[in-house]
Amino acid sequence: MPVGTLFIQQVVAGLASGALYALLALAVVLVFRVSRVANFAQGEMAMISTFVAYLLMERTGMPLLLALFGDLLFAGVLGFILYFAIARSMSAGDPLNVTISTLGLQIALNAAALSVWGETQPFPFPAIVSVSPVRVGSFLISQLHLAIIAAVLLAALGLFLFFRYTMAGLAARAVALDRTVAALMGIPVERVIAQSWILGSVLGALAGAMFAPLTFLSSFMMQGFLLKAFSVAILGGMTSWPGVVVGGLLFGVVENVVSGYVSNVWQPAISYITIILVLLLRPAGLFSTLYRGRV
Amino acid sequence: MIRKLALATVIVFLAATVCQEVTAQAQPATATGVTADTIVLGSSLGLTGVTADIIKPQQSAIQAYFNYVNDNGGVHGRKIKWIVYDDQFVPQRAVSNVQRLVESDKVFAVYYIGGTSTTAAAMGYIKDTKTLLLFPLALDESVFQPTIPNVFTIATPYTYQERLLVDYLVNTKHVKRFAMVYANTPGNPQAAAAASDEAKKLGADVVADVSFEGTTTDFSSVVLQLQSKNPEYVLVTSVIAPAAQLIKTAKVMGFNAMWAGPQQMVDPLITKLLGPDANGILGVSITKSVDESDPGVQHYIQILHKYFPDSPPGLFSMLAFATAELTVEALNRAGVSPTQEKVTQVLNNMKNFDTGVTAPVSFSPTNHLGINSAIMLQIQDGRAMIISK
Amino acid sequence: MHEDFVGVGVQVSARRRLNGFRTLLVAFAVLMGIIPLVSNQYVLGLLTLFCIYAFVAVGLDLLVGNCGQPSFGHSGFFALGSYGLAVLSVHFGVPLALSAVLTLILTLLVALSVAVPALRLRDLSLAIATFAFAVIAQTAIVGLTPLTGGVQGMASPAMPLVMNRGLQAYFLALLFLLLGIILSRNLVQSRTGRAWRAVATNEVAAISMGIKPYSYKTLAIVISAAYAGIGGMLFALESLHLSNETFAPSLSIAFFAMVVVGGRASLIGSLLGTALYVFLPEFLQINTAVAPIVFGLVILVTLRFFPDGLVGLSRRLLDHAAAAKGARA
Repeated sequence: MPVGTLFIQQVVAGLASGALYALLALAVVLVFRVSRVANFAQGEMAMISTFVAYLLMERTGMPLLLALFGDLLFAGVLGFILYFAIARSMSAGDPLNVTISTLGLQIALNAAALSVWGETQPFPFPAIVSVSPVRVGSFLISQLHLAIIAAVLLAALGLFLFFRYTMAGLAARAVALDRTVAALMGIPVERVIAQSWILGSVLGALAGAMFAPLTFLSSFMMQGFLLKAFSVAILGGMTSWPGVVVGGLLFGVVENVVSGYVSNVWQPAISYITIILVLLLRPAGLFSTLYRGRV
Repeated sequence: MIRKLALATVIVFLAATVCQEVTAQAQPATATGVTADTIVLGSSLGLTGVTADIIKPQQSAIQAYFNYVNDNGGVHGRKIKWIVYDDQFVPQRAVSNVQRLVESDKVFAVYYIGGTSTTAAAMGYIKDTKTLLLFPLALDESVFQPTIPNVFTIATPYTYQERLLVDYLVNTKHVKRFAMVYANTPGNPQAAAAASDEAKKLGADVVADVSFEGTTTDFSSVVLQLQSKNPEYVLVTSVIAPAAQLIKTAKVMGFNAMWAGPQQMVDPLITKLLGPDANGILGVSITKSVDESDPGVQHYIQILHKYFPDSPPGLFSMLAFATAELTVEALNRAGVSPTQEKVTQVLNNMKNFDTGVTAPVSFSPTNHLGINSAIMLQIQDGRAMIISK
Repeated sequence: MHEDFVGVGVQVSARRRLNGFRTLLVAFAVLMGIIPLVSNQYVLGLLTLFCIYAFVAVGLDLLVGNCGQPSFGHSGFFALGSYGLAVLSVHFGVPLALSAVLTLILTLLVALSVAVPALRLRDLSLAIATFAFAVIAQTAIVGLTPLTGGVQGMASPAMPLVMNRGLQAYFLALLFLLLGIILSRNLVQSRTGRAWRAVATNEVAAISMGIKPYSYKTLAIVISAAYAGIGGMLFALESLHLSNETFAPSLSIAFFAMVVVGGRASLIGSLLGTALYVFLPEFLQINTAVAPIVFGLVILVTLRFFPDGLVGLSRRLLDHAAAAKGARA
């Protein structure tokens, strides 16, 4: 393969993996922006939801799309339950405490999944579209990867439009900015926060369903992705949806290119140094609107 | 205040040292780990952590066999008690688990440490204390070379396996272009290097040598690095899940090469994860294949499913089962009052013991690697035996 | 000087508090000193680990609890301590004591160079930046395989022994823990501690009082890094073997959790949090599958009902006990 094509192929592959990070990052950012909580359990929630889809298909022979629908429904309910159990009761308190609670939740969920499926995992998971590659120009890209990139772009666009042009989105932005003032203006703060958790969980579950064909369904599926999702979110700027997507894609490309051309071993270090460098130049992320101290 | 503190510390220090000396004297000289009705064995396994998916079935296989033995009279009337500690596949923890087993639980022998790096870490302690170590899952040459008197194994190391594999591929399949890909975890780089050396010795080319980190989540870069060099066969040395991910990613990216590797590459789990994409994968295995209508394999599946009906049969599970069988056989042969010395003697004299799921096992005082041959398997809608060596 | 402006009443209670602290500390020291006599090697190892991690947690609490800055990076300093000591003494034959000093200096320098860029950020960005450091540290362990043994690992440095090795490692760790507690308390009650808390509460107000947040945050990072680095060295001496798995970034997160779950800005909190992390999984070893579930739930439930952490829980219990006693009187 000629050098130029190989490079482009690396970049394309990087875009695909970066899109996965971005998809999860969108969920994380949504919850973080509105409820001020860094949800460490987002990945595990997505993993459990995906297992639900698997169980639906396995036990009842449901077709994939229907099972996915059930899975997203479950995710929404899960998001609400967790909001109720964790975020709400500590709403007035310190977000840091809630964040560490989600860490506890992550540990518990992961172990629970392991105890149930530990022996028989991992499982193959069907993809929404075929995984086989198509030829675009002189390089190949998997249809599934294209679907993931499309999903991320759509989701980001959806969130962007929602936050910018709808009343509910405006309410969410108000809550994100200042809860007390929002409450004084008659916005049902708790309801908005609950909605963000629900939607965040659904987005996460969607990400899980798209990961699973490639990474196989197991309790370890999301390990390593969550912190990358956070890093990507910070890189892009927590207050900007396009930023999150760009951050994700960029990070994916950096990872791949560094891995391919520099070193597989040092790649994580170099990738993260890149993030730090970007943060030094733009402390609130690439695409941030400058809210001093508000990240 | 500082003075008070210092005085307290000094007193305590002296007291501790004195007491430590006193208690050190009172050590019994009988066979540890054996009581009137039990024999205690201890293991350190990665029950949670990166190896969980292959270790759990192994745990079930062993427990199933011990249960079976216990239900049928035990070993000369004694039941086997098997203590397992989780080391999460972290060498650190394995060492402290082994310490705990030997000093706290006073096991008869340390049995089946579940990993090459964990065993390596604990080896220093095992050698120093001359604890009997039976059949660790350590696919590394240093376990039996040079021969350690208190350590026995049947795990033919990856280096041997890969050499056999390369021999087969070059001599029988006339492969000229190899690529090596491996996870950068203990033991794998050496195995890949052994395979490379063997290939070059036989006149083939090694066109690519790619490693990936244990934490890698995305394999597109690795695939591209391999793809660009256009190999005929790619030898993969890694645990199952990443290997499967790699192959899947390769298919997704349109990279069509033939795949081969050690035992895990032809484990039923690979077929489960890859489906039809798994066809054609070649592997070297210490155990027989699972789908055979072989009485030994059937016996294994029967016992496994009697106690753990959900446990998936697999190659590593069979290997674990074989070690359990060996251990019980050795204990049986050691007689009514077993000691570590008797068991060692028994093993040193064991010739051609048939476990039913592997080639016959033999040891001698200078050879503590029980199985020196391997079986070549290829996935074809399941698995098939090709050659035995 | 604000310390002079103190009424008699306040002075008396301050001394009483100091005596209370001293008594507690001596009691703790004696208790911890006696325990090894009735333990075997395994429990001793666990206790040593507790002392080491608690030491790190106490240091980290200065940054997280008092100064209010997050850090997911302290596993990096911990690793630096362990591998620094090991590589210098095992590979380069540098005498142990000198290796320790050099490693400490190295840790301080690295901490400074991490602090400079990191402190340009805040909150989650700062957390991610510190996390980046932890990732870089672990990657370096593997990348520098010729020195560190990489994934295979390397043997730990040996120390000159005056008693049973495990026992000596334990007493060394205990000694540093006690010293660390004393130093931490002094810092917390000094002007530095007050400056930290001012920065944590409201940076702008702190600036208006003449406190430079940047300097104090840097100081907090460097000091907590020193604790972590020394902890790492103690860890290397205690273990028989070092490998990269142990120094994963998740250890950083564990340290952070220990501090928060135990109770921020609280010495006892750090100890309780560490105790939870070290001992609970062991008690639950009966069923390894269940152990992490319980552990995770404990974290969740503790923070849900006791925002002050385990310290808050114990205070509540003590208050109840005191009230019950009072009611009976």
